[in-house]
Amino acid sequence: MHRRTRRPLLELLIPGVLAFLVAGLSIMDMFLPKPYDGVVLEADAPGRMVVRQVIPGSGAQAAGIRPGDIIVGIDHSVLESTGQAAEQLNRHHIGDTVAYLVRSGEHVREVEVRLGRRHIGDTMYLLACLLGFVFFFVGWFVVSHQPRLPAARVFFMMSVLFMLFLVCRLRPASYSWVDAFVLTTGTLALLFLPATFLHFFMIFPRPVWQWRRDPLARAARVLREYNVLWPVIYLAPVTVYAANVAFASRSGRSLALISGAPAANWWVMLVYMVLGLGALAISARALPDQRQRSGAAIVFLGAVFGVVPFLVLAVATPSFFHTEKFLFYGVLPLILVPLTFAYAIVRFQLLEIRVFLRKSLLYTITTAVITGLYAGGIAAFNWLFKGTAIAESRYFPVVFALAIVLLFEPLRRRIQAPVNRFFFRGRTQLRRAMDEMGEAFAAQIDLEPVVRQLVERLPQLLGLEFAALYLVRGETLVRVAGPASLPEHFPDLQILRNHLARRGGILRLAQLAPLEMLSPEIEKINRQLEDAGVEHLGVLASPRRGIGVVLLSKSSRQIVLEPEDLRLLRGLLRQASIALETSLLLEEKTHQAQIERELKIAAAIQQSLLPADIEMTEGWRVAAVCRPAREIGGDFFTVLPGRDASLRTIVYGDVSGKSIPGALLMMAAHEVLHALAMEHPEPGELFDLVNQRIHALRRGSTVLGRGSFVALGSLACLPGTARLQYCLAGQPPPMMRRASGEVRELPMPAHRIPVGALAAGGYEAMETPMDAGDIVVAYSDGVVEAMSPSGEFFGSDRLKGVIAKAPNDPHVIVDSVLRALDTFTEGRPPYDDITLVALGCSSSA
Amino acid sequence: MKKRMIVVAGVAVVAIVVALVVSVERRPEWTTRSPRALAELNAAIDAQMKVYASDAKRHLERALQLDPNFVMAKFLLYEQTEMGTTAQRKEFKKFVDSIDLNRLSPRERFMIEMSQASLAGRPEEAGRILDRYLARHPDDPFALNAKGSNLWREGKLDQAKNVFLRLVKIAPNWVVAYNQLGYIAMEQGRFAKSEDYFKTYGFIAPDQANPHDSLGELFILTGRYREALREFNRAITIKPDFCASYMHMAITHLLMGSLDQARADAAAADTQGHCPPHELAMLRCIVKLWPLETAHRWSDILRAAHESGCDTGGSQPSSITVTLDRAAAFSGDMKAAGAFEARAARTLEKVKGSPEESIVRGVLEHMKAMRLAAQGRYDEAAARLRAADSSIPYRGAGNGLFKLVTRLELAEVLRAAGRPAEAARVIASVGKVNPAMARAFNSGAWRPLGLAAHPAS
Repeated sequence: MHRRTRRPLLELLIPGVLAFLVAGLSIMDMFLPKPYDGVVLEADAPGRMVVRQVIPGSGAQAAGIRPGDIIVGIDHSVLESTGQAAEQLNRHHIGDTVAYLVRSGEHVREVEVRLGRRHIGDTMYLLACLLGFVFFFVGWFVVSHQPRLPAARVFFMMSVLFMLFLVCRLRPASYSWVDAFVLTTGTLALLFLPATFLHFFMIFPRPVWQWRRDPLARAARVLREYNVLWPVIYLAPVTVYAANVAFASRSGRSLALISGAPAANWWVMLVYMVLGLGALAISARALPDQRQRSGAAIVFLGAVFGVVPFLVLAVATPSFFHTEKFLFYGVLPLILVPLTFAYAIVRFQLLEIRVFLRKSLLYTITTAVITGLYAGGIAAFNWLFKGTAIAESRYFPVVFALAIVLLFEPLRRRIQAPVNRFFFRGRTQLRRAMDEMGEAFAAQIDLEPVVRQLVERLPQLLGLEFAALYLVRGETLVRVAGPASLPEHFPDLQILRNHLARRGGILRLAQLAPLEMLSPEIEKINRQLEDAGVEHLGVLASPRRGIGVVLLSKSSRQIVLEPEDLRLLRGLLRQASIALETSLLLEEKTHQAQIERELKIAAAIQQSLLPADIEMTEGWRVAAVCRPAREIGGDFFTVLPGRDASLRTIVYGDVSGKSIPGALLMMAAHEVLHALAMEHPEPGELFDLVNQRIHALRRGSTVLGRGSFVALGSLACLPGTARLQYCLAGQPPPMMRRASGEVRELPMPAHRIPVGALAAGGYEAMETPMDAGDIVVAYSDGVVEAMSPSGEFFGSDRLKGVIAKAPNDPHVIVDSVLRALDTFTEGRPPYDDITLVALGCSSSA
Repeated sequence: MKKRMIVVAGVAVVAIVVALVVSVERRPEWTTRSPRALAELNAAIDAQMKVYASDAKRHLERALQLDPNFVMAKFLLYEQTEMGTTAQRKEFKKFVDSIDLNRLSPRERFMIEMSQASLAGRPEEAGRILDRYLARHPDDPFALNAKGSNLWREGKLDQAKNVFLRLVKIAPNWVVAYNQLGYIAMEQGRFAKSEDYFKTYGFIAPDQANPHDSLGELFILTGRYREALREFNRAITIKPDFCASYMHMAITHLLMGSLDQARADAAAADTQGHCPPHELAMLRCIVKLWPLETAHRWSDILRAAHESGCDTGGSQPSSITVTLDRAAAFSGDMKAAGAFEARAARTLEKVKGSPEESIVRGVLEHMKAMRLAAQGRYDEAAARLRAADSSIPYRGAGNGLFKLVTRLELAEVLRAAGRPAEAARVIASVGKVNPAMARAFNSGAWRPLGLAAHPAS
């Protein structure tokens, strides 16, 4: 649980546990074996011991003490306080006879009362206690699952106060300090109870100032803005009470109390109830949401039919008519309050009713069993040791209570496990459904079913409004499924990924807040997701890669996911991650295979474009090879027609870029060359035109970048002459191997920019004489830039050496260079495409 | 969080300061260094409150043994002692004057200073000391008790009642206050309240005879004779030498017409009751004269009284004086009756301003009325009897019965004067207090004067 939720829970837990202890003390004290006369005192007569009830069969009844009598003195002492009465009684033992001075009407009389064992709680009171504990556990269950929901917290406080009122204020009181303490606690609970009602009604289902514009709602809003609304509401009854007590004390008049509170306080309570019920009635009529209206109406009915009989029969009647005959009929309807409130919450979809009720039932059963054990133990003990000194020992109940306290937790666990299995079927079913989903993930190799499970089935299971899936695409998380209200993509930030990993893979959106200071992008993402109704983020990742993110909305039932839900969800997301990774890998592999297939076809097409036999002018021999670095390459060579039928020009090219784009550009260049060569056989002119086309192609294309160009070179044997014409556009200068074995680079033209790089042309064809036995070797930069494993380039010097040493034959030279390259690179795949063209002059023209 | 801590710390500091202030304020009430001596003193005060003088004395002596310098133990021990002789009083004064007041608590100082003033014959100053102390310590039960007793002695019944009520609110087991409240209520004619106070008194002090005797007195006055006898018997059971109960029992038997029982009671008082001689003599006279009185044998009453020495001639008029005056008047001995009147008039002069004044004035008016009635001047006698009735309070059974008898005499006189309706109202007023007495009168079983009714009645 997050720290921010822990503190409010702790703040509620402390008063709640204290209240629970007071209630426990109250009940335990009633059954302690202390000397007791059988008198139940009127709770609304502070300072006087007015008899409200006399326990049948008690010493007081035998002595003729009647309801309405006043106990003036005990054991020859006029009493100043109930505490003194308890002190007097505690000096005696069970079975002693003690003198009482009793006022009956106008007269006092002295009677002898035989003290018996204390036992003043009747079935009615135990029922009230049970109801009180049900209130407490229901309240606790709600708040522990909704610690941030203000209405849940107020509901818990209301439940605690109800428990205190039922257990403490309705308790048959005697003389001991515990009685006084418990009754005072009950009175305090009564004073605060209407304030919690008003508080709850004002904020449930929605704070009234958020949607009402009438003067009262506006006043509430203003008071709330100044943080005085709740202090005023909670302190007003206490202030009125204190003022009444002070006034009565100063004026010397006795303070008339009704169930512990002065009449003025009841007026305050009435005003509170009217205001609260009024707010609720307005909510029930005017709230925009139908479900919320129904919820408010149910709470309204529960409050009216639960509280009104309670106030009349359980509070007013005992106080005014000194009879508890109708207490049962007053307390019983009170069960409507937690039930209708709970039902309304369900209608408002605040909680899962089955879990809600079953957990309440579980704790009630557990408490009842433990209480039964305690009572049974006491009874058994008394029966076994009746009449012995042990039975009279005042330490026994303490020791017994301690034993029960020690046994409580193990017993509770023992009982809870089977009851949990039996009662929390919903939770078990959820777990099973998640397990099944996990198994389904493991069996899936397709992406789509996994995605569907995550964004369709998971929200159904958890009662969420929606779920969305984002997958990693490069450096972006792209929405692949989920509502359109969510952003299509957002950056895949490492900081977010790390934070999610540290938090166990799932966190609430609010937990991103610390990151907002570090990254403005997180702040932006957080705001977007919050606006879209996202409440949780879950990371999808494998040890090898990040896969994506799952976004979960708020629950449609307005509950936060329980820790148990989150644990299950975490496991499920891990399984989903594996399934998604598998699916993605498979998809990628398929895609790769497809590409490879296509590349092979492309390579075959490319290969088919290269001329198998090159026929040159008589007296010239030629050898050419093109070895792509990958499946498909960017290098090529081709033979173009010259200005007459006997003239052939070999053009070799090297396209910038590799793979598909390179291949496409190569094809384009190839086609352009052939298309233009028919009309413009002169190499300089041809290159100019090709340059214009390629440049235009690049500029008009979004695929081809600024670096897309084609390095071209051409070699042509001028017929009737022993001269070689060559033209270079970005290609390295060809090597001339003289028949003597000398190797030198041919001169470079002034303009030799690759075609397509610049709009400007100006290519110039150059000529060089060739003697018999001379061989010109043209090559692409892939030859000299071939790299050894140590990172060394093959280089032009090494190329010269190979050419020089090779036999005087174009084919042999080409083969020698290729072998040398293989040796140099140690058989590693070439970094760049390699093209070699060797042209030899076999005789002087 | 910080703010909350400050609030919690603030509350803690305030609580500590309040605790300190309270503890500083609550200095010890009695000055001694011995806790055991202090416990003995408290036990003595408790016993004193229950009028257990011997127990109180024993505790005080033990307290003094434990702490010989315990001033208040010694002071209260002196107060417990009967100051019969001048030497004893002088010794007490010497002790009181020697006390160093500076080392005493305020209450001790006030008690000693008040005692010093009283012993020096300055009662007004004693009263001022008490009032000053009460102004500063309005809840001190000792001071309230002293103030209530003073007011009661001064006849300021309402004020006394309020002071005692305040006292029992502060100290609910201050037993003597209930006795005082019971008598005040009786005097004011609030008999039910008086019964409550006496019963409460008896509840707090179950081993004391006095509350039963007080309650018995109330029952005599209110005509509940059997209950009165039961209470007197209880008193005698608790304290067999309790003289007052023997006397009251004898009177009850007389009122019930059991002369022999009354005589037996008188004899028992003589043999078992630790009665003062003059009270015993008076009881004997009452028992002796009662049958003559009920038979209206006026001359025989005078003779018998003379023979038995019943007319003691004391300074205060007693029931015997009233009986003899009535007998003198109706036997025609106006000279003797005049002598009784003169003596009462002298007494009245002496007691003017004291609580006794109203009683003596009532007796004087009664004597005048008897003379006038004996002379047949019934209207004048009736006026005198009304004056007597209004002067006589229900202070104890004796005075209360005298008041009721006076009313019955008034009824007789009114009948004789031919005013039966007024007589009936008077009898009804008696019946409201003591139905038995009214019944006896109406049945003719007992008429105090034996006057014949006016023929027109």
